[in-house]
Amino acid sequence: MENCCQASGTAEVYTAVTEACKQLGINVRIKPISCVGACNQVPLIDVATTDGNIYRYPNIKPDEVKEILLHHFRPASKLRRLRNAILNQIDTFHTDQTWDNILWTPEKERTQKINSFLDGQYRISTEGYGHLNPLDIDEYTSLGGFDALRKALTEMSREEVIDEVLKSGIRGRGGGGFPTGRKWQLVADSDSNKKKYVICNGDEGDPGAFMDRILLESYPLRVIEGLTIAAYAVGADEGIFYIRAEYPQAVIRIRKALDMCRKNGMLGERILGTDFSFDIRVFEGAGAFVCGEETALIASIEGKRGFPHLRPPYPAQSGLFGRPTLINNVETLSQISYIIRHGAEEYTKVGTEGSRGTKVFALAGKVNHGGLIEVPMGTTLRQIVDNIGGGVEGGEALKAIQTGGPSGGCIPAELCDAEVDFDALNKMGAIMGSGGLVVLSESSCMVDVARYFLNFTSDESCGKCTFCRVGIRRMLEILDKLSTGNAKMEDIDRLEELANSIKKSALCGLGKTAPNPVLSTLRYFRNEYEEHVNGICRTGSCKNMVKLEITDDCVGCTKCARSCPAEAIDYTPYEKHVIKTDKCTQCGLCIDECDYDAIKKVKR
Amino acid sequence: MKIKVNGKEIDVTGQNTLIEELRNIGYDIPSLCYDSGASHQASCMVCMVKNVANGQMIPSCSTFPQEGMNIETDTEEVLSLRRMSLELLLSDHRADCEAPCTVVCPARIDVAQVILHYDRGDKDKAYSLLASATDIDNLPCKDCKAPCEKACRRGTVDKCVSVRDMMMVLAEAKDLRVVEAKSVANVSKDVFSSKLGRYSDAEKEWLKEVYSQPSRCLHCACEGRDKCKLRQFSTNAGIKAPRYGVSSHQIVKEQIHVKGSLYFEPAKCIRCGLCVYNTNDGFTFKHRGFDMQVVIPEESKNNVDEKIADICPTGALFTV
Repeated sequence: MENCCQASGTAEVYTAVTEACKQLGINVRIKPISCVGACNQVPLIDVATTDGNIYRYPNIKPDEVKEILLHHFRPASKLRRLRNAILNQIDTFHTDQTWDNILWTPEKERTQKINSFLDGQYRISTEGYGHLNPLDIDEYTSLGGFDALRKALTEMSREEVIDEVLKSGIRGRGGGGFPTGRKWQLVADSDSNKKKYVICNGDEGDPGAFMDRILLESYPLRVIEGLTIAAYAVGADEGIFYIRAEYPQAVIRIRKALDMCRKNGMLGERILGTDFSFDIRVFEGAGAFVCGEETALIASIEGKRGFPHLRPPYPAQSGLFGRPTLINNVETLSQISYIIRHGAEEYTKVGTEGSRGTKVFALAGKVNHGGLIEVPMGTTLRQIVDNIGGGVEGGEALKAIQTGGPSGGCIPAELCDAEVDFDALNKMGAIMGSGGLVVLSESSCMVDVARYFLNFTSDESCGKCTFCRVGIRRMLEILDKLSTGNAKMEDIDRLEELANSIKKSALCGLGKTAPNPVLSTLRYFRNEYEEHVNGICRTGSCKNMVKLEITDDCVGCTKCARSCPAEAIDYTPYEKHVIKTDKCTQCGLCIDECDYDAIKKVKR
Repeated sequence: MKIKVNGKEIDVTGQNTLIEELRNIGYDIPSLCYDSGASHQASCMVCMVKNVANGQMIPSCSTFPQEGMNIETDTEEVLSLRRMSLELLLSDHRADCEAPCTVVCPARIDVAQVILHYDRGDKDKAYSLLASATDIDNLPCKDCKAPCEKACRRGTVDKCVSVRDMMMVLAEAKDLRVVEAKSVANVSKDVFSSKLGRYSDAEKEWLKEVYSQPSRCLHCACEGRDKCKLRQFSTNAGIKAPRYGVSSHQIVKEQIHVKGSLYFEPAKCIRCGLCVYNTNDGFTFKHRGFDMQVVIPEESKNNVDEKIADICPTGALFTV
């Protein structure tokens, strides 16, 4: 039960279940569980019966809860059973609800979507999905949790831990893909007389990405374990969780989990009876996207303005308060316990040559089943969309997949059979990034997509260096011109020149990668840019280039006029309706409403 | 430690930043946000050089030499990036280097400066400056068609300054002494000159309100143009005008009195941060991205030393 799940109705269902059990006198254990990832199938209830069977009910409403409970469990006393039977009869008499009930759908049909979504996934970071209680430390321990920490602290030397991580070949999941073992080595090798810090970077800010939030909310203990092992390996005695304040649930759960670990001797003085002492505190970030960049993150903890600075010096040499500092992403740390527990060799069996292990993605956009997925590196993009995602929404053709959020690029459909790993994506002009996957269909305008992401980076640039502060703004202005049909051909060249220069010269990772959405769409979809110069937006996404018009198929039913929120269509029964372009906001409600397909987007 | 610069090997200690080392051996590396001796952070990117060893473009002002570096300072790639960073800065720099009236004057009178002296009540200086440029008894303005009045930016706001009348009144004044007064205009085709462009309607309203002296002059000419590094480097780079759309979120021609004779004009600021890093609890940054601005909080004005104007690379901080 994460924040997002609660918001989409699980919170109501949870209260409904609790109340219904009390009312019906059913004695059953109700357990809120970690994220399953199938966002479009929630609220989701699993009924586990004593005979070991599990019955799954996706997409349920609070008023269906009672029915499900009664189907599986018998209320305690006969009197209650009788009363419920009578009340139910009255309910049925009043409403027709029971006739349209989830129980009537056969099991197979009910869970088909969720099963196809879950097949083909491989769980390392999200191990225990769907049955683990995020804040139950005993349950986590009984399932092998903290085994890795115990093994590292009691059986392995610091060097051996780093060696194991190096051998596993794991690369940083925050975006850059720097080998994690090498990073640890650098911090471990730096001046050992100095106090060292380890930081877990949970400042996830890509629009549409929620991998880190889910990992923090659903598997807080796993991330804490990873961070503690990292601290042991590099010789740090203070750890910091940098979590953005917009993730309140993550902050609450991490705090609770930290308390639990301290009580159980997993944190604090002499962890697990060894002479290793280490503690972690939480630092809430104020929500600037740039503070996910490690040098800006450090500045932010130090209480300075969130400005990145030039590397070198790298944080491994001179980081927080000038001390050697290790910064790892949430997802990277969540894979550590698996590596130590099962050994690097087992870990290298998953993934590709250059990119080991699994990757968590937030699958979104025009796809049937979006959600949080974890797949082995080397899965192809098409497999993700077709098998896990259940194909493109509305049966449209796949046009491109955008990876890596505002720092990434668009990969056209013809290249989507390539295996997903760090190097393959870089070669195609995109990046792995923190793991957003946005599916784009034939009805997505690539200029509009590029403009959307650039608008984001333009707002989130820290403003320190010229190329990022002014350069991105000028690129955005050219894209604005393109999407209103006012651009000339040479503007495209100018846009490309600016983009290439910013990529080369900006100070930090944010600026250097910000032009990627533009560069990759220019590379694969240049014809669409040229069409925009000629005043055509083939998908009609650029609102200033198209208008809505009513064709002669109109019968004058006034449905569109009644549905228009902008009062752009006059109420003229039995006459052909007319849309006033100056009032129309192109929300598309009238198109959905029209039974005669009489409203079309046309060139302005 | 040895590094390569443009193919030649040089010895460096590793203690100084690249820009210092390069300047020491005679390379003229431009930089706006760097002032030797002052604390700074890389921002303007005008000092860009290329490290061929790893193919990266680096700001030389904050990079220390490292073993194996192979630096290029004057290839077309480096120069074009420097030019672009200057152009980008200029596209967010809504200010005139020279006043349009001075630029168009056929008699080469520093019109803007004369009016400035006049407005400040220094009529002697105004008279002397006029006298030094022309034959004061036979003033050419009498028969001139007054292109200065046509070019006057005030004319686009409401009504232009009556420059010609003012000059004639000055010339006929009998009670003024001749003192030393020099023209400060630098009007030449070879020197870069920033141009402010058109005012928006809102800006016109604001200008009408704020610039209400008797002469009604907007004092377009920049007070800091002599020491302005932005102008100097733009001239060196051969820039005529920025190739990108010009826009700014700073309030045009807003002049904030900081302390004593120190003034701050945000529209000319390039956000290098030198004044932020070199005052203790004085100037500070506000907002981020393109909206980022340098501000001086009212309560911090006293913490600023007037000498800070010397390290400002543009005319944003100036003393009068």
